[in-house]
Amino acid sequence: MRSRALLLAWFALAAGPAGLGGCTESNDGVNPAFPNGGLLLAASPAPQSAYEALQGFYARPTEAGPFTDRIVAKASPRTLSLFFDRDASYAILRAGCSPYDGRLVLEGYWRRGLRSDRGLLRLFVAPAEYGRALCAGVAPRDALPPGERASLAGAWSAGDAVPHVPVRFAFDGPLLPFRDRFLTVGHRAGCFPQFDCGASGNSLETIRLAQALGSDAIEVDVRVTRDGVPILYHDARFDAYLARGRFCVGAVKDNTFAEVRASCRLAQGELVPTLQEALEVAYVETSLLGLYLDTKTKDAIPAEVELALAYRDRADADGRPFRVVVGITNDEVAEAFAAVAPPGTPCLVEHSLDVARRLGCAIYSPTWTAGPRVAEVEAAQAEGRAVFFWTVNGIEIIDTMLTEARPNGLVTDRPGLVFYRYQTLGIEPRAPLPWPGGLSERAP
Amino acid sequence: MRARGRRWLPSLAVAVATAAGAAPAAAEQEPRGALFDAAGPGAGQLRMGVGLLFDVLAQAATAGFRVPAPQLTFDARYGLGARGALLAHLHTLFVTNQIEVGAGYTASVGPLEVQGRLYAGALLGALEGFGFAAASVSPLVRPGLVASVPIGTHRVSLAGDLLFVPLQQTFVGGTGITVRSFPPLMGASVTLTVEAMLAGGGVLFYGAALMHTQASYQIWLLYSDDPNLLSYPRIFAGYAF
Repeated sequence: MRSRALLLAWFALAAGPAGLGGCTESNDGVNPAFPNGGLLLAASPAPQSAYEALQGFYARPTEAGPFTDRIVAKASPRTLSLFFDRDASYAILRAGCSPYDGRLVLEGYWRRGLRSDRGLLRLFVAPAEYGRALCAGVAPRDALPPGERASLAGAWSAGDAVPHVPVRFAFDGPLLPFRDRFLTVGHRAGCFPQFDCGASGNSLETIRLAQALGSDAIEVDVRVTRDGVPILYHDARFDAYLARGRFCVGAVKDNTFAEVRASCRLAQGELVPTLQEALEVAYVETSLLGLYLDTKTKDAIPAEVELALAYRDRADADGRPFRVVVGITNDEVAEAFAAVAPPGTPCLVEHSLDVARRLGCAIYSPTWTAGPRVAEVEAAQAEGRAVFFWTVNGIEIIDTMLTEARPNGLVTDRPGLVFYRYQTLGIEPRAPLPWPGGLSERAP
Repeated sequence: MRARGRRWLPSLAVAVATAAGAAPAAAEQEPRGALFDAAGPGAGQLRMGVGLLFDVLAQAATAGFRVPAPQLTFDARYGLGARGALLAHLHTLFVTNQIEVGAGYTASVGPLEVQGRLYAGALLGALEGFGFAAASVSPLVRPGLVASVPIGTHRVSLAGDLLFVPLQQTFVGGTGITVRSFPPLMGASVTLTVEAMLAGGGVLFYGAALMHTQASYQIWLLYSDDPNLLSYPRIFAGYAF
């Protein structure tokens, strides 16, 4: 009997990795959706002002599933995102105005960023008169009846089940200012492959999703194909963990763009985008403040500089703060940049504050792995430069960098969590963000 | 120099055996056994082995970064009376190290020798330069079972281990950060080890493992917070004397 027990225990341990495979919650790329389109199918789209009005802190008075006691709601174009502390969880909701009773309803999905758990969420804005006023475009301060407190009340579910578990979030205060103070910068556009968000890093789909995931700006990786086309791709070679395709092999620089287009798909099946396509999607389809180009090869610099200047001029003409910032990652790239970049090219230096000074770059972006570097951050901010640390993911590390370094931004795979912690810690950077005006500091 | 070292080792073994309550006289009579199989060295006998270990890391864990360097390994096992054993393990890439001591107990189960074992130790790492001014220390506990069978002059062992790491204490630029947000089950592994008992008394060992661990175990330098367990192979070989 004892022998059998020992053997069983041994088999259990020996089979451990296979059995624990069930804990490896890989991203299948599918987000839950309401059957038949939910209530939004018949609703008229809510005005953007309604999303903006719903932005803020909310408290959850009762225990409910994946949601923490305090949540942060952030508005982006046609989306209200809810961020929770737990497992970098979030919900992405769209709002509509009911044709039957005029109520403002929010529907969408929630996900645990570090897990595969996901489900649906349906919330109504309460009191109902407040929701109706927001649907009618009434200014928020005039829409809420005196003495009333806004809330989001409805139900959630796991998986594709129709929401049925009650949940309520009560408005608990406005957010700290952020877009002119602190930027949450999505690493690889904010959705690194091993994390669940439903799209691949460095894809157009992730760029479209970036603000909903919490980003105000994004970082993307730039490489150049054999025929000189800058594309978004992180690694020097096409490897199975980032790209797929039987003939998607070899170094990026050894493939023509036509070969990449024909042979390669990103992890979730998306096309490998060109830099030009990525910038156009970010500019036209989002209200992102900009992109930080992580220059993986100095050959990308001429195209990056040309595009950064073109989008600067276009954004200025359109009155938008959008900027494309050339990332300088080492001395070789710095030399290439200095050789071709005219004054006023927005740039960022990762590896040295002195190089940032020499090149006149308005952003210094060191890695967090050498610590908060408080004196260096203070010096850079006193010179009018912004400081972003990369790539900061863990909650303890996010908190340490925010409280000790007080940077102007963090580059992260967990944009919702960074935004949540920035808001809940309430510690602002020492200096405002030099964006967009201060980004063209580079002297002639 | 080598001969003097070999004379010194049994003396140490006898001293440890005495401290552990084993009879010094028995140490001369027990078989030396192998290093990793469940039966192992007899009471009062010591085996120590050195080798190389190579992890083919999951690229999703390393963000595409490749670590082509093998790690050095050191293992020791001392037989106690009543089929008990004292164990020690180290593998190191210098910037990252896993160091453990443990104890085990062996029982016969049909044709197999089965050992239950428990290691405790730490993951240690430090790197200055390349954008790092970082050090970390994480306590670890590694329970496991080994089942072994002799095949001629070889000993074949299949081991299953679980690796628990409750926290990581990190220092970056002198700032301490205690990281607790990952699940304490850092990973699990299945390891197949073959030991060839050589005529001269030494043991040549080699084997492979299927590792299934969090990214931060695979490459601590990234401090990944991804809790998912990613699979990758590990191969190793060495010599025990």
